[in-house]
Amino acid sequence: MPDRNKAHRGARRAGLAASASVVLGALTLPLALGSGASASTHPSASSGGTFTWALDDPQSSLDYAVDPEIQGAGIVMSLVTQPLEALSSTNQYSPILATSEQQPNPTTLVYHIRSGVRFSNGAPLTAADVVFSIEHAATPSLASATQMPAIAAVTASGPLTVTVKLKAPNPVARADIAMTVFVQDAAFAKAHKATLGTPSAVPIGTGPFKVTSDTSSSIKLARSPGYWGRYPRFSSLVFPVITDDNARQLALRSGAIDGSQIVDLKNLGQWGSIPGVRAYLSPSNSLDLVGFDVAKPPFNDVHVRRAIAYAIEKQGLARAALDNNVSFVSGGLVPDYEVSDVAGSLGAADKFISTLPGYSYNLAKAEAQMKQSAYPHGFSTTVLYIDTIQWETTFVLALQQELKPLGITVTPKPVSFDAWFGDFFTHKLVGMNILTLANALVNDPSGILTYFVGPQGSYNFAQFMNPAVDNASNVVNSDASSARRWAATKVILSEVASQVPYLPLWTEPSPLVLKGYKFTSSNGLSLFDMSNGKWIYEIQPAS
Amino acid sequence: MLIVVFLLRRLVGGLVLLLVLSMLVFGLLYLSPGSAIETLMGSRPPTPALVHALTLEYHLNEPVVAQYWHWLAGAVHLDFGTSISVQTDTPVSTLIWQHLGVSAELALYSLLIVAVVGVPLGMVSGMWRGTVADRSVSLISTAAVSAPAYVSSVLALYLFGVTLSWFPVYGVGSGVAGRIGHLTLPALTLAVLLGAIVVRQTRAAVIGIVHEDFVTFARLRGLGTGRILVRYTLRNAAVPVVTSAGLLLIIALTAGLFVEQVFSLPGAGTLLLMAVTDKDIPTVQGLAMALGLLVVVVNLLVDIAVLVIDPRSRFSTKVR
Repeated sequence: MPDRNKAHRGARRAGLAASASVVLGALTLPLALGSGASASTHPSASSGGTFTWALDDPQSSLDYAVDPEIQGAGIVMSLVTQPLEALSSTNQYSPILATSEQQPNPTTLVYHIRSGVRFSNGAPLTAADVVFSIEHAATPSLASATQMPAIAAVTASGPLTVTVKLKAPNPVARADIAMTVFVQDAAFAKAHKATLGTPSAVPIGTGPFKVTSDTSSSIKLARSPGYWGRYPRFSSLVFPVITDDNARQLALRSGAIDGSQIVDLKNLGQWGSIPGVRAYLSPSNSLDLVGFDVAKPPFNDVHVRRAIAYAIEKQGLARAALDNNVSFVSGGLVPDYEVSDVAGSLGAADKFISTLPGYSYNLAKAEAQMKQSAYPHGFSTTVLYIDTIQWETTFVLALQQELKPLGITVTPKPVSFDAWFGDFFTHKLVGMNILTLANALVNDPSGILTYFVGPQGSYNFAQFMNPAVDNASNVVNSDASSARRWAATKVILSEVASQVPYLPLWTEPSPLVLKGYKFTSSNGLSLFDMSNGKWIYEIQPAS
Repeated sequence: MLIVVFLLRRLVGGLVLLLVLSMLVFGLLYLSPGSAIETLMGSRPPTPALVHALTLEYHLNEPVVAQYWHWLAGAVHLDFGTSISVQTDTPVSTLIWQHLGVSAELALYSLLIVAVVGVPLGMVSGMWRGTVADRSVSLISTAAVSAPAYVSSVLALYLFGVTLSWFPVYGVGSGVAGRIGHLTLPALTLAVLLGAIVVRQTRAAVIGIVHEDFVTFARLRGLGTGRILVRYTLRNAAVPVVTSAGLLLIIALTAGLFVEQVFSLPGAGTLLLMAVTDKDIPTVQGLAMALGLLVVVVNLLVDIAVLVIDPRSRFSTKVR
């Protein structure tokens, strides 16, 4: 689930360091290889060796609840502190620390914890540790709380059984817990409450690795003795912090690192041309869109919004701004795979979405819509853009030219990330706005779609609400029936496509590179594998 | 006695400067967009519990003057609070100590290279003005001082780190040998920039001295070139060189930002960049104060060094 912290991190990377989304792909196939839970399916791993993966940002904390950034603390700490279950891009669950999960009623989740598991300090894993870890992730003052469902109580209902009571039915509560809760040694965490996550008190986990060094320049992991599952092929891992994109590229070229995330999508070709390097574009949920304040003129006129939608040539803009490294989104608001689960299949989702207006570039239609509006001769408007997000700068300049034929004079105005997102979260944005957003943690309409509509929609900067949409949003967020949720989802998608409070542009893939190694999937790594520790099993020698 | 008074006067001046700086630095919290509490919350969820805790910790329910007094009292004891986002919950003083140490090592290493290479080159250039040696040194130093630090860093990294594999390409290493190995290339890169300034300074100072009567007389007395260079020329040219070296130390600590970025060194420049980027105001405040203190201390040390090197400056101090 998106949150301000993640969006901030995303844009910080995207902007100040160059570009890139936080969240990784959703389209990769569910990967059978993974944690110790599925140890028997692992390829034969030769022991030993160090794998070096460069981070583009120092970690503010190694307590994932404090800094829930998947490609930061997540990619490191998912190998140390494990989740209860692994969630796949197709919403399939596989056991990790919980051997099974039951939902006796819509507000209760019961986890059965794996027996015989020990933390790296030798202490046995108990239900109390899981209770603490869930409560810790849901602590309101911590950033992870925004990704957790509303929890009424968490109790150890048996020596190895944990019961979670929700305040209200939540179809994605299990997914949120799977993606957000990293189980750690409760006794250690309580004893180091004030410093947990700092180098002096790195959380203790049950994973295949433990942290041996955490400094400003690198994080080092070594195998945790007595790990309950099968070890990955590497005996140690190093995560050097190399913030400069050029320096990281040179480090990869020299062989000093084995892999990294690419910050600037436009540099993908440059990275891929390094001898021996394999570049991957992992599909992502990171959605970029344009929104209009439908409550105030001139954007309260649907014909104006439609005219602009027809006048924006997405393909050309994507080429100019992101070197065409995007996946276009049309017909509704979110990628089809985010609603495919409630639709029953991707095919069913696509079939419905194809019936919605897509607003492909068509200047004649744009001019026709403009003539029907209350502003047939156009108007002037100011469009804010975050000057540290490179694609937004290119986009707004191109937009200025594309809207000229409609008589719309766009004045671009640069703003800081904090100023823009400050107004975004308080719904103070007016007019037309560009949004770069790290996206849904679970492929479900309640993962992001309902954030943009209705009075409860925390991202509803378009102020888009009407009784039908508001009711549909409530159904999507709380109803247990997939059929009813799909019907409600269709209402929201139809309304958004018809009224155009938002014009979805594309999702930005997450570029990754490896030298001397390759991922088992040609799609690279998914967000889901990075968040549950399976990613390290997905790397194998290139030869 | 008068020298002590002079130094005390400089010390008091430095403290006044720090006091003014502290007011400006404290004001950062209020100059940031949004309220102070919003700034201090960073990206954390704005829960009532967090708001209450921050209000108490930063005395936000008291008048601004009282807030400043509390902050200053903490700053005097090197307590700048805890980091909001660079390294959450870590004391700012710990962060500064860790990062400033790396920068200090890099700066001192660079200055050592500059002193060993730059000063002699500047002297040679000044002594034999107009020769091929002088023109070559001038050309190289002009090119070095003109090259942006970022570009020369990337070039050095590519050439000596990647192509020739002579040096590690990132990080600070561990142990003394590892640290020296990792800092050598960045120190050399920084020394090229700083050295160029020192070469020009030394050359200019030497040119002014080699035609002085006492140098001519020393030559007439049959003294060797080495002795004239060290005992007569260098000592007399040392004052502007030492003065510039003090400034260079400060430049090396602060302007080493690009070098630290390219070589992935967790120094003060990197910390400042992260803190500003993440709007970690307590860290920005603490680091700004620490760098301000460093400037004052280094300037004081330079003043003392000049008094030691040049007896005439002691006389001029008395005269004033």
